[in-house]
Amino acid sequence: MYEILIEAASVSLTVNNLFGAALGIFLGSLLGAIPGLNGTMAIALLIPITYTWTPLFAISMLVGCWKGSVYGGSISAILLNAPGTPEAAPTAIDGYALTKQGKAGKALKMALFASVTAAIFSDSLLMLVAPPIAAMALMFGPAELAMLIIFALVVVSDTGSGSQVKGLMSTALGVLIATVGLDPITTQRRFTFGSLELDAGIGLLAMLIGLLVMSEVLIQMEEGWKDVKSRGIKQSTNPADQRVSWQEFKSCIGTIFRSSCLGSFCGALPGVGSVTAAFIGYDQAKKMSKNPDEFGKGSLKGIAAPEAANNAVCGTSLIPLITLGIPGALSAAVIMGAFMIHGLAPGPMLMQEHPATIYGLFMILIVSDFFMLIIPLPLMKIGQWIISVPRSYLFPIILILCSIGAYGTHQSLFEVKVMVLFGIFGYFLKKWGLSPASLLIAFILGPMIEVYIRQALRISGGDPTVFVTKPIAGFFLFLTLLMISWTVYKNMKNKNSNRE
Amino acid sequence: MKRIFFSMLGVVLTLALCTSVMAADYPKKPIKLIINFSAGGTTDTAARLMASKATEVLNQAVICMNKKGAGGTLGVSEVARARNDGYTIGTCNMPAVAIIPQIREVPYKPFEDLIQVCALMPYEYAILVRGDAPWNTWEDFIAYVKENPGKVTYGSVGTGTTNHLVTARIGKELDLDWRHVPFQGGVKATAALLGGHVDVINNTMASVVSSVRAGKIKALLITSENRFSATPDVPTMKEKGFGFSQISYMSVVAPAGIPEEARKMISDAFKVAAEDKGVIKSTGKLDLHPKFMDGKEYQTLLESLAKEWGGLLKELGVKVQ
Repeated sequence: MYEILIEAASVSLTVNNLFGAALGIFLGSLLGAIPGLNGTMAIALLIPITYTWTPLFAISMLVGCWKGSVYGGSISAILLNAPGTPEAAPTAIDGYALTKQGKAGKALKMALFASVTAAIFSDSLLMLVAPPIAAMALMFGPAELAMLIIFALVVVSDTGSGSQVKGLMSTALGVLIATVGLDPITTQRRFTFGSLELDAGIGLLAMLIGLLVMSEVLIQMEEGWKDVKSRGIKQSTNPADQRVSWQEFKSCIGTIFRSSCLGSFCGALPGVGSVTAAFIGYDQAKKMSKNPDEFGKGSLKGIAAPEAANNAVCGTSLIPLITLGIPGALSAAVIMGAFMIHGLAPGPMLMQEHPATIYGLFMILIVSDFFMLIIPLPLMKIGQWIISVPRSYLFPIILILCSIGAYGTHQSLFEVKVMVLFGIFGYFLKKWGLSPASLLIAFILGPMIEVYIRQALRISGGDPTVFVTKPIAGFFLFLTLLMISWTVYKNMKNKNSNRE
Repeated sequence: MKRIFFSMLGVVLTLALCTSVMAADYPKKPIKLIINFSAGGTTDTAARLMASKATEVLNQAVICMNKKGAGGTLGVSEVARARNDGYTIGTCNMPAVAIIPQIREVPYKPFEDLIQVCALMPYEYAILVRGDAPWNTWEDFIAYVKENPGKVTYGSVGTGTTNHLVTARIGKELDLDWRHVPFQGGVKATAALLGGHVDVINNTMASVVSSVRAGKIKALLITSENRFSATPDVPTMKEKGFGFSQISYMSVVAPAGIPEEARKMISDAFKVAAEDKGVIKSTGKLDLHPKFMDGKEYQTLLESLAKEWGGLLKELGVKVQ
């Protein structure tokens, strides 16, 4: 064992590989931070040029890039209310509130510390307990996943909306929009209106860029229109407003730990993903908090929770990839390609056939978590400078980047049209107080619920009792019902107390 | 700052990709190869490995781009739409031309708008069960299905895929009462098998071979034409008396009407690539086995496959038009 570790250290912890990880983190956080671009795009761009490099260098760069981009998304979310990546959407709620109070530095640093803590947590799980976690992930079949996702949807449906009714309206809209495309089970066309481009459904990234970024640009343009002197947001010069004190960090540790566990759990389950993790993370922090009213007004926990959750996904989503050859997330699937092109077939034999490479990768992951603490710092400085730039210069550039980002996902102008359409749609949603973020999460989760329920029913031969008789599925169904009854009870209590 | 970064990124990418010298006639500029599956999959990996060898042979860069979606048809339709000057080609799988166009409308006529330049690699498929399943042979398994009608579930990588159709046809021929569960791709089907949520799946061997070696998955029957190198004892469908196999190649397609000279040069270059020792070694590590087939021969095969599966599609009720 020691020999393997020493060999792993000697092949992995070279200047080259560490540089690769650092470069990956830098590129990832840069692309993640730019509204409209994101890390999966960066990874897909990088993959072809990594083919000639050594496996560890290539993989550490790609993983670094991924980690960087998951954090990077929070930079634009916090500074501009325009999340660069979908998983940063809940971060914007409290992050942007702090920026408006002039405390952008504090928000950015909280996001960073939460991200790094969670990443270390998740990577440690990957190194130490990968096999049992993989076994647990396999226990989640269609029936279990269906109930888990329904629970997630119920939990997050009111995130970011003013009222529950509006939250539910956004959720329903999101689920409805997600039905466009080929029926996942029978492959019949649904709501495509003869457009072949819609066969694959509405592109998540194009929609996200429109709903979250472009709509925000439109909203802020309108504000600027009214107030001609709008010249960006002034930042507080008090150093205490630009840093996170130990006290503040300590107050968030519980939240970060819970979010890390949640994120690691979501990462290990193939297909659940970091967006779900971030939203549930935010919501658990709000529900567990003694002062839930602080959320949405610049709560540090509201930043720490989603950031810890979405970063915790990275490490554990490599667990099913390395132990079973099953990537847990979209970016992990792309990284699997990097393994394969270098002759490392992911699966149960990987650890036995290439132990030095895998342990080496683990070591690089942990070291790169510490790089994460330092490398994004200059980006933060640039970011803080950018918010002081007059919006009239900033917005045209952002809109161009949005178009590039939407085009880049499938190299298709159709996606740009989708983005513009959802940009305008998102503008009206925000005007009406409906949350584009809950629409987005419903758009992601809705199809999963459909597919898993239908698959589960096919497996059971049409017998719906599987959702109760399978213990894990039954457990999540119970939680969902509990959640709903609790909300109804709380509403009734509020109503009564308002009457008195 | 952002824009500087982007222009720099552009320069770096261009430099990385365009390393070739101008040739006399065709190809005068880089050739675009549209891979019709996502980056990181087996098709992508094999195509990129062969494209880099073809780049050397053609003395001109073969640039790979991924255009995934809708069972590979989005990438193929992009090729069909492209100019037929020989500078845009793409990868193609059997269903994208022979099956999916019979299920739903696609923006190309598979045998008129496209020509098959050459076939490069047969996909290798098998019927797979969990390592601890009680059946060790195909006969054991079939006996079990017959004794337990309506109990066994089989997973595929999606409705209308070869994996679905071949398994359904086996069921028809043997009069099996089992249920189809379509998953969104091979990864999810494999996860469901490993977790014991379905009893059996039909998937590509390359994607599960690591689990097979580790004993977590057993292959009962190879559904492609030849036995699989890593599981030499597992019989093929033909050996078990079936009159059909699961045949799909990764092929190279071009828009119809490309210059004959260009077609030949591309075909020759990929022939060299598919037979190159280095390529065979790297693909071999992933248990992929390139095998070159002439484009015309493959085109004829595809036409007969389209007819062969068309009838079954109708019977299964997946045929819409």
